[in-house]
Amino acid sequence: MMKHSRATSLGRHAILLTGALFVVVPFLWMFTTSLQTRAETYTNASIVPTSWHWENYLHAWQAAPFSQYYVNSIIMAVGIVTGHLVLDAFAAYAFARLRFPGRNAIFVVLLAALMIPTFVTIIPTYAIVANLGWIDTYAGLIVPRLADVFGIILLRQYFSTIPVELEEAARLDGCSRIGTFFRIIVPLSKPALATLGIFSFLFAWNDFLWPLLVTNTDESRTIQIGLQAFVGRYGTSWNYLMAGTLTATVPSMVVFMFFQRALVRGVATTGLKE
Amino acid sequence: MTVNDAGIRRGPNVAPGGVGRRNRRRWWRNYERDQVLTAAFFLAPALVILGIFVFYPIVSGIHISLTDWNGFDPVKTFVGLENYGRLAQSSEFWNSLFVTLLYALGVSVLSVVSGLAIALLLDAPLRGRGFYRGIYFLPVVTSSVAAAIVWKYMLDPAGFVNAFLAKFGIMGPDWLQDRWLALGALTLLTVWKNIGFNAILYLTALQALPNSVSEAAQIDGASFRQRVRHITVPLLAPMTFFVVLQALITSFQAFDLVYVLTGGGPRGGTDVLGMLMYREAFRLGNFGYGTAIAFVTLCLVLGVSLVQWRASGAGKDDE
Amino acid sequence: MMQFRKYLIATLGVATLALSGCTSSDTGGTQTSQSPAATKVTDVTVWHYWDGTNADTFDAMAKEYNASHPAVKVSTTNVPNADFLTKLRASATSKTLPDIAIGDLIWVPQINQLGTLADLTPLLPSEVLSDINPALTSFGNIDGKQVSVPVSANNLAFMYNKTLFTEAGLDPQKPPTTWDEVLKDGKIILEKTGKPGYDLFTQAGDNGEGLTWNFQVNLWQAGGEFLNADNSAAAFNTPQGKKAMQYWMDLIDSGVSPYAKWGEFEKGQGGSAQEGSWMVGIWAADPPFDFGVAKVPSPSDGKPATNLGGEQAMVFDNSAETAAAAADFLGWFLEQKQVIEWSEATGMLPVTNSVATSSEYLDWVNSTEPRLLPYVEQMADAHARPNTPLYPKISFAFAKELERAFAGEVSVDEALANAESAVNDVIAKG
Repeated sequence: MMKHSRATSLGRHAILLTGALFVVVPFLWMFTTSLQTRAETYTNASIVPTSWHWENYLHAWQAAPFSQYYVNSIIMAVGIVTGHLVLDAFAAYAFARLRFPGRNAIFVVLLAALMIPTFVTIIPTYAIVANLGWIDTYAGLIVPRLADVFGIILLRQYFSTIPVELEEAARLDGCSRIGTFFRIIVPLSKPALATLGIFSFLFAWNDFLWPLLVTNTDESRTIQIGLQAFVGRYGTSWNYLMAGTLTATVPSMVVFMFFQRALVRGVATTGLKE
Repeated sequence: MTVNDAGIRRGPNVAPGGVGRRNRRRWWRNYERDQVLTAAFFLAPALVILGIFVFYPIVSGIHISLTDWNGFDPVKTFVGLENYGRLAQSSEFWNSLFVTLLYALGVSVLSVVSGLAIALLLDAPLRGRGFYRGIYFLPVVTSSVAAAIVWKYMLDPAGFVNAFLAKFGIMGPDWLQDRWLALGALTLLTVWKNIGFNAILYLTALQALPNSVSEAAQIDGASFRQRVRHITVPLLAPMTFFVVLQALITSFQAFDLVYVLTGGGPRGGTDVLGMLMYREAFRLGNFGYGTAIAFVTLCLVLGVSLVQWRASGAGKDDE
Repeated sequence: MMQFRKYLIATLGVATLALSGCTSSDTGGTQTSQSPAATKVTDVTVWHYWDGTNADTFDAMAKEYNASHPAVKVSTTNVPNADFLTKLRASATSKTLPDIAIGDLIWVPQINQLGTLADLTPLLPSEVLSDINPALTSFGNIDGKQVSVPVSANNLAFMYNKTLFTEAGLDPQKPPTTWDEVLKDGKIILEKTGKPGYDLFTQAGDNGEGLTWNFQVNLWQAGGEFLNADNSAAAFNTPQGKKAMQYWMDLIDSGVSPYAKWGEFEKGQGGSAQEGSWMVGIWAADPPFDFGVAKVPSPSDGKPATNLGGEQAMVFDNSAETAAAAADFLGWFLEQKQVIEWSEATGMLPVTNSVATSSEYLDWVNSTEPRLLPYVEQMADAHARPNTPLYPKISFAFAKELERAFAGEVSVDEALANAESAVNDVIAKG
């Protein structure tokens, strides 16, 4: 175990705390703004709260059918996270461990797909989805994003750091490829899977443009669309927008805190006898 | 290998595939049938989804970039490489490219450094570790709009930063009206926004590092700094590649943060490619042209990434 | 192989879960449904970007219409304004357009390029069409077709901070009425309070329109024009254009309106600014400070003018039935009673002359919101911008060049000349 003196501990705390203050400031502004009246948001730009209109949170919630939006956002997020974890892990395994023709070429194409700005593909993708009749459906929200390139590359990178010997040993014992995938790779990849879970959830939760395009009715819409209604043509209701945004941030932080526990350094990370 | 009149292959004792690394006749013999089938099985679900909903639209996008489509006209007129030629001659594009390259460089370097530093600080046992992780992750879940607005207020001549500097007798400049300072501010804002993201990526990779080598080095008397430099960092190469990749993609596509912080100003000083693309395609009705810029951007990022991939050796085959 | 089977079942389970949530509802567009009484009901979908009170009022009025017109069912959807055009573009690719789109006036020429807007001349009663403010109707008249009708209007006027005026020793009941007075009062405010006297929108930003549409007011007041009559060339590089530029430069150079400092007035830190009529509605309930409104000050040898904005309704020709039903709804919406109801609830300016000059409406303005009066009176002198689909590009090219003069990089003549050639370039490329 690495030894740590009290001094280095204190030093680390000092650095981390200073950084933390620096990091938290905009969050404070959001909080302060969420408690102001609309008039105050024009004239009183402050980080420290001076007025305390807690009813803004209630009004923001009531401004649109947010409970329905939350349900839709949750379903969409669960679908996308599950899809990413399963489909991306499978594909990443193929790239990390299997030899097949065109592997490098397909990988480069994947990289390219990662780098395409969304707007280039969003209208053609919409045309496909609309022609499938998936407007105002969960299928339209989830299926096009059931797999993603980011996850494949992330997991591929991670899988390639797991020693090949572990699987070879298992295969010698008669385990199939799929078996080693489930019994060796997946358990050892909890940190990476947890990370992908966090990022996929964030992506799904904060996604705005695609859900806006494929939904026309309140029954199908998601939180981000609801929040955007506070950004009007003639001015933004900052107080309600911040109140709604902060409320919507809570599930993200909950998911993050839940998944990040897997990012704690485990005791036995190799399983190999040295 | 020779072929006689009867068409029968004769030659020295070589496998039917023949000698030479690039034997085109039997290239498929280099692959095991089982592995290829298994690979197909593993890849199919993701590739089907991506194929329909990502790759095919990209092909459509390429087509759009070869037209002068304005976003509304039902007819898209093919103009070949005209859009690409146009952007090569556009001073706005070159300015944008220049600004974006500087921005990407700053963001990549600082992302790696800050992400790794925070990850190392949060890796070993420390009280309140979970709390710190939550705090550092807050900017990631905070809306870009809120983040950029606060920075804008803080950098206002009458704002917090200058007020703070005044305490030391320093007269702060109008940060967002000087093109280099504004670009610097934008870079710092971007790094700040993603610090939790990068730290988490590095934390993930750190979990997979074996303790043994590091411990052995410690026993041999290597200091923490030496261990980090010569053992940890090289072992983290695959994740560093990924962090840099994400930083590049973020910088080349950045829009929300720039839009709110500077709007691309002052007078083009922070007009990154993300702003240019979006403006041309969505505001000015040059959808085909904007798409062409997107593809050029894509090639740039891809090129840089591939160079990085080779250089870091992160992509070496592991079998 | 047990693992394989487990995996297969798991995947199928996930897939079923994901797709089982599929809810199919009626897609937008045209359909008719059979009601129990077997009368044919035509569904009309409306997309708009209104929020808050405006959206609620519009929904209520749609309900009112539905109740009194059982053969038509109007349903409304809010689409955030920043992405409104994007959603229209996407929907156009697969025929999932709404029946009515209500969007910013300036979008109409671009949306018209879709080619599926219905001509409203035969569909709307001619009394309704002729009652509408002519500047707004002619804006929506493209290639001989009436492709849009206004449903709301706004314009720009002079808003000022009464408290700051008093503080500077100026009479808050006597705001400036000429360009010279704006400069003079602005200087006094700057001297006495240290705050800018007047906000100018001097930055092009990412689309230029903020600068352009504010500048056009002064351009028209000086007697100039922005583009020529058929939108085929720039028309602002004239002595009148120069005069308007010089007005701006005087304000900037004197410190009354520092470059890149738009927004001080709204924060309560500036004396005055050119603001839209919507601000009155937004601020009336809970004003951040005591504000007053006056007509835009014009040059002593010029004429009054202001710039028109607002929402226009466009009908997509999805089918003859829906187009007719949609037009019927719009015709109803533009009747006197509805226009008064709409204008009073939202603070938007009435688009029909009969209402704008009616004693009922004017009485309401005088008793409830007198600060709207200058805006209402200005409708007679209001200009609409050029209705060319190239307008966004033109506006951006124009604003970028003018900004360089405001930033002190080039002279007024150079800026106007550069802007002229940039705009003509845009038009030439088409």
